[in-house]
Amino acid sequence: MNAEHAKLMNQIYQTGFALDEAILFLDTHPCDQEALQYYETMQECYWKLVKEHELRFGPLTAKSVVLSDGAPGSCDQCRRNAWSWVNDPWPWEGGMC
Amino acid sequence: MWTYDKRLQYPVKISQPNPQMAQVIITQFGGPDGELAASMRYLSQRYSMPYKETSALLTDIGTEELAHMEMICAIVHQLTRNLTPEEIVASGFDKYYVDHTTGLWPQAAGGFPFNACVFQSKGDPITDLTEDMAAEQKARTTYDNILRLIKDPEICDPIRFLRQREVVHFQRFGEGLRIVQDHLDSKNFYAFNPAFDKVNVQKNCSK
Repeated sequence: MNAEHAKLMNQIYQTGFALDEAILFLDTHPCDQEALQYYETMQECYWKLVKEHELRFGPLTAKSVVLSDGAPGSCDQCRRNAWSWVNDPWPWEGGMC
Repeated sequence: MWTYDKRLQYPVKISQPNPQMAQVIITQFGGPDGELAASMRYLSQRYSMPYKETSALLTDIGTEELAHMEMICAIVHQLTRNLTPEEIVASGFDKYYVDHTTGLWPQAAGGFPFNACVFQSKGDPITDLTEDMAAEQKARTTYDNILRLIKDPEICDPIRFLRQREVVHFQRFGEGLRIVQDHLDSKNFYAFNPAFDKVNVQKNCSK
């Protein structure tokens, strides 16, 4: 993983965690306006970063695979579209860290 | 339904194998206070929660526990990579290895398999949420015990993250229990089970 990819993943980890925390807090404080605003801010950051990741480095979910010429995960041999979801490394192998 | 995110909840990057430590940490996969039991406990209990906040809480924490299970499995996987037969014997990993090679199988550190009897789904919100608070503390103690044995900072880092989550979940379940009690009769929280009894208890009591 190159430095730019690592930096982007780090931002996804941070905003994703901020959302995880906000979600649990809001479950038991559904009317907390400050928490709702925090959730909204983090939500916007998170999805912007995830979208950028999908376009530049590959999918984070199987329902968001980008299929277009030059998209990440194109077949090394034929240079055409390929199913990039299966590409290594998987998270437990140290991928996306 | 669920959607898989192709990343861990918190990064796990361990460069040095340590099969001895893997045998201890695997208990948080399939052991009595492990992440698999936690996830199954909360995701099973949520069907009998009569209040929307606690149904949401059990769904979201139960989901996060699946992500914790994945982190624990990633730690064990990375601690058991590239082992030689000599290292396997010397570390005492041979007893696990003979049945599972270096595959992941849910067991406790003592070797006994994952068992649904380590958790309850009682169909009573006060009972279930009280169990959930205890479960988070038991898992926190297990992580404290693991942290005393670890020297490698690359293992400590994700384990500390997981320990912190137990503390946060305990807090949220405490709030969930409070929400349940706020719906009930403060003079007797146990007058009826809101997940089961349909009777108008106040009318019955005033007879």
